[in-house]
Amino acid sequence: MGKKQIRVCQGTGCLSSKSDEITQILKDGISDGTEVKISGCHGFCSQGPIVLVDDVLYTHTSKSDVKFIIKNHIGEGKILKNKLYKNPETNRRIEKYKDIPFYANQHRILLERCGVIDPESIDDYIAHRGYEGLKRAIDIGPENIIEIVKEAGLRGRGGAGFPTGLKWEFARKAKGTQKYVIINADEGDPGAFMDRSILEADPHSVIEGMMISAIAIAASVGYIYVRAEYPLAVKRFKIAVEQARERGFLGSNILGSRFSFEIVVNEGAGAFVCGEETALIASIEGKRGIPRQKPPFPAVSGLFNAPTNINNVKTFAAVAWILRHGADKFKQMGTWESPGTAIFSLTGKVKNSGLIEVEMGTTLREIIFDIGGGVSKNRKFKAVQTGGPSGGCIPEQYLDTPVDYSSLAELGSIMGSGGMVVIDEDTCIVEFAKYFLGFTQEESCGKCTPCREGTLRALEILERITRGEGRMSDIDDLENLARVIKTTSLCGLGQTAPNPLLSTLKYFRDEYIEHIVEGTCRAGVCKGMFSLEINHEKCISCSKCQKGCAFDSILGNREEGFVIQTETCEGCRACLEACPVNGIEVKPPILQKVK
Amino acid sequence: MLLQELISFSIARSYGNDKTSIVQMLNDLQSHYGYLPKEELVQFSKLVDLSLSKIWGIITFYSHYKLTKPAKHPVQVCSGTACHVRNSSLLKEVFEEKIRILPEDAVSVEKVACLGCCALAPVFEASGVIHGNMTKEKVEALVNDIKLEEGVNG
Repeated sequence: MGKKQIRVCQGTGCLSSKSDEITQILKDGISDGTEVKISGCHGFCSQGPIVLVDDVLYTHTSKSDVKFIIKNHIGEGKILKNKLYKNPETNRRIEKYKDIPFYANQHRILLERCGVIDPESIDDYIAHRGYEGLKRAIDIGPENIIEIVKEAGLRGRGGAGFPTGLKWEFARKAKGTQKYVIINADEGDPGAFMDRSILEADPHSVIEGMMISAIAIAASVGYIYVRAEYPLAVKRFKIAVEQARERGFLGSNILGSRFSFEIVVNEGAGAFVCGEETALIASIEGKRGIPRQKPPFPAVSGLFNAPTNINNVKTFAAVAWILRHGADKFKQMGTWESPGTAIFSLTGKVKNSGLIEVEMGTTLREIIFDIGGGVSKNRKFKAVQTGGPSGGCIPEQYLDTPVDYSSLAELGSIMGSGGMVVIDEDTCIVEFAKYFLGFTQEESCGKCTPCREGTLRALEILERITRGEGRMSDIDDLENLARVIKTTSLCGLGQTAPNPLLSTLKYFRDEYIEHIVEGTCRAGVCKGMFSLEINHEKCISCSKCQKGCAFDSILGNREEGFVIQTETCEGCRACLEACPVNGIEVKPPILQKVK
Repeated sequence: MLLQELISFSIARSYGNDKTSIVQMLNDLQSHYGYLPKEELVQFSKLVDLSLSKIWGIITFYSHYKLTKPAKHPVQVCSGTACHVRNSSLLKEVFEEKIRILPEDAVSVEKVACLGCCALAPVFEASGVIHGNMTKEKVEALVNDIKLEEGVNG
């Protein structure tokens, strides 16, 4: 039997529960030569901190578990059964991580090395076929690279889905002595963390993809624009750049060729609109991040007015894979129209939340129920929101839709860069739409009127409805406003901002009408539009609601039972969250508003 | 002079590209001071030869920049979608309620854009450390830790 290997996840998620200390205790405690290494995110963040001994996955590992891992597993080869993943469906513990449904139903190619290699070691990357794609790119030259990327049918993973090969061809043909490549890592979508995880777990693959693009368009300088909110991603990317330079993958005459390349790390300063390519360029140039009219497209006139190619983190990671494995293998996955895989961050009210990768064309149901394990706390599924503030809500009847760029667009949502948030019956759809409008309103750069003023007016109407002061004409007004904002805004932010509004108006119109006409919020979210009541048939007198109540509004004790005092109840829902048996019910408000 | 050093550092980092970004320099400035002190900005404006009004325009555009000295314990509450549907705004209210007895410069709380730890929602970030799966109890524990450090009873 060969030597065992221990991998401790040091993604941001696991680090927040002290996986760095676990690593140290493991390193200190092991004396038989077992290798202890760190890895990036495994994607299964809700189960962290994650420790892998060969292919056995331990979840929620604490510092005190470490000595048992060393003594029992490493020393005697006995697996710690109680730290294995427990399937909530069957209550059975699963030993091998590949058998866990969360992983078994995925198709990980771009995330292949995430959680496997040490992100701070270039040797580990090279040992896993790293920089093979770059070598091939240097051998075959620019025209062939573009041909392969076109042949693979790769579409931009940032959300809009523009064919990558075509974009590169434009940039290659554009005239200019100095050209640039930019990695768009300004992952501002709330509810998305794919780019962050890849940069933290496998930064070299992004560098490799970027360099392949640079050869293709003849660029000599590359920029990465990464959010300042992602300090670990910045740190690991910088380490990777330094290591690549030391090994001669960056600098002059790379690998003995005529190709020279340098990378500049550029941190953002907290503006969602900078995810838009022209705004991003303005920000790198040191200006306010405000988008401009297109054309000219960045491929013709981009950074410092030079031809520039901008792609998302995942697009570059996919390019490195394609050059390594060939276009045919890539095309075998996914659908005819959208080949390859899609990466999502599956979050919200879902049992297994985390980072996942599936083939394009996988259905929403497979993603949410097979991989995600269904809705948490056995609540009822309400909708899935894709594409962040630019996307829409998809209700249950469309769950069998295969996911790709066009199918989601048909449903009034978008693929987006990969955020997928599951909501259950406890989320008020009007309030949810208000949340997104509030976000885009705040992040609107203010340059064009429809976006600046339109989102504000729509937000005001939504606020009125959630206060219980809505009018029936509001629904028409919202639809009109949405149409104007969508068709007349300057950039993608404004053009897509009404999507959350339009999709919820389309699929959940009843709930809007209920708010306006009856003054009730069935989800129990909008203040003053509902009351809470304990269902005494379900109540097990555990007192968790009383402890959870932020306003001390639950009276009673474990012997006599509990009751919610409606006069002081602020409707904060803490009791609803705390109740283990779903025993707290949402009822219409006690004092019905006189219409 | 410190400011000059910071600027040279920023320029050096862009590998001789003279068109260095003001945004990057401001980032460096802020990470050094923790905020952007007004006196330094006046100096900065002269050194980079850009009017103070232009610099002001940039600073006020980006939400990352702070113009006042941060509190000793800066706490950020994530308001990303995943945290929002898991009631992070309520926990922020609870936190605000509990820190009332502390002196004003001891702790600050702000709502921030997605911190990218969505699988751990709801998330707080206290002095740069991520706290995931927050509950009312965990918020109270966090406040108690701060109280202990500040030597406040109650």
